[in-house]
Amino acid sequence: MKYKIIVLSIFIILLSSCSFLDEDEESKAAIEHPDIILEDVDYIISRDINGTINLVSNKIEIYNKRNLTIAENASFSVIDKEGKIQVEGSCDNIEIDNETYNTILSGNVKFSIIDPILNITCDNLSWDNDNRVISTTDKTVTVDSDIGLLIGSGLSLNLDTRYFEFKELIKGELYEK
Amino acid sequence: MRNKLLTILFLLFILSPLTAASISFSGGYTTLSMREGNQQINLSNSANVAIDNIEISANEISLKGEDYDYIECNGNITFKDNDNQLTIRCSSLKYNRDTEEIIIEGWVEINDLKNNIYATASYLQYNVEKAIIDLSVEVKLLHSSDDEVMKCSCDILRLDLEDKNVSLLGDSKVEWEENTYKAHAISINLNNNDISMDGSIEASINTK
Repeated sequence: MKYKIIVLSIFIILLSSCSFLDEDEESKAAIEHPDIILEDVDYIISRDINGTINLVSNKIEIYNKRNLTIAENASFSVIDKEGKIQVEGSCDNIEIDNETYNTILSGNVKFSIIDPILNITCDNLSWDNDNRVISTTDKTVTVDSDIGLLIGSGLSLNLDTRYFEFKELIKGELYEK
Repeated sequence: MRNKLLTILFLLFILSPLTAASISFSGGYTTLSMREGNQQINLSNSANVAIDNIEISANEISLKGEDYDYIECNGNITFKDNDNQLTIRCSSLKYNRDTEEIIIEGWVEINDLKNNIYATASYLQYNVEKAIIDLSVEVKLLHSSDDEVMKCSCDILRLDLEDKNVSLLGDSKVEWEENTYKAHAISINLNNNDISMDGSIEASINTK
């Protein structure tokens, strides 16, 4: 009898240690799938009073729980509240945080800041919306403007102050006016 | 249509020098400000700047001003003027691209391969366009010619690279072919090593 009780107790302990997926795991599994998939689409993300982000893409996935919009083979433009284009470009993949509007661009990134024009070419680029800073850790990033051409690695650029930081400047050229 | 195309190509050909790069540069950690009124480029960790036939390398180089005309260099500077085969070494240098003038305040060393000249001083002013170098404070100059070395010292020295002339002023002294010349002002023609003197002249001529 005593032996049966011991075996039963061990069995109960073993059973209690097993469980189905907990809430976190269930949540993680759910967010792997997009809530909305759009194909061959012109998509506009409203930035409230600050204007819009306009996307043209082969495929857009929207993840509501992650507040994320992911677009493939996308061209994009950032429009201000007066309807002027601030930034435009294209890339293979773009991830936009729908709350902060922080953005990660990857693959064949072309990023143009308008007025005065500044064209950036690289493979990966991050956009910090609050600080209005773009940055890349790429070993080769090219910046072309009316003033000149810059080729370097590890770029950080504040769009408002037009202040650049390169980890290394491989080559810079200033054009004669 | 063909004529229009040719005209456009011709115009592009004519206009192309206007867009040619006039300054090129490189460096390690680099910051740039393109904001109007605060244009500045700061190069560090083996900084290099090339302007036409001029090459500058230094620990740090800054380009400032509306057209990035003011260049300031610091630490381990080598300035090369390839047109004049001139190399200048110093630890601090300022170059104004607009006036084409270089100012070095502090010890400076010059190697002029065209005229076989080596000189040192504590202050330099070099007008690149006119090819005139002014040296002052403990100026010493060596000029190699015909297997002999001419030794010069003075307070102020002007080296005219185009006219190939050296002018010494203040406590001037020249030692050449076992002779010694002292005067307030001494002038040397680098083409034929002719020496002319003016003011308080003193000469020691070896007649052997």
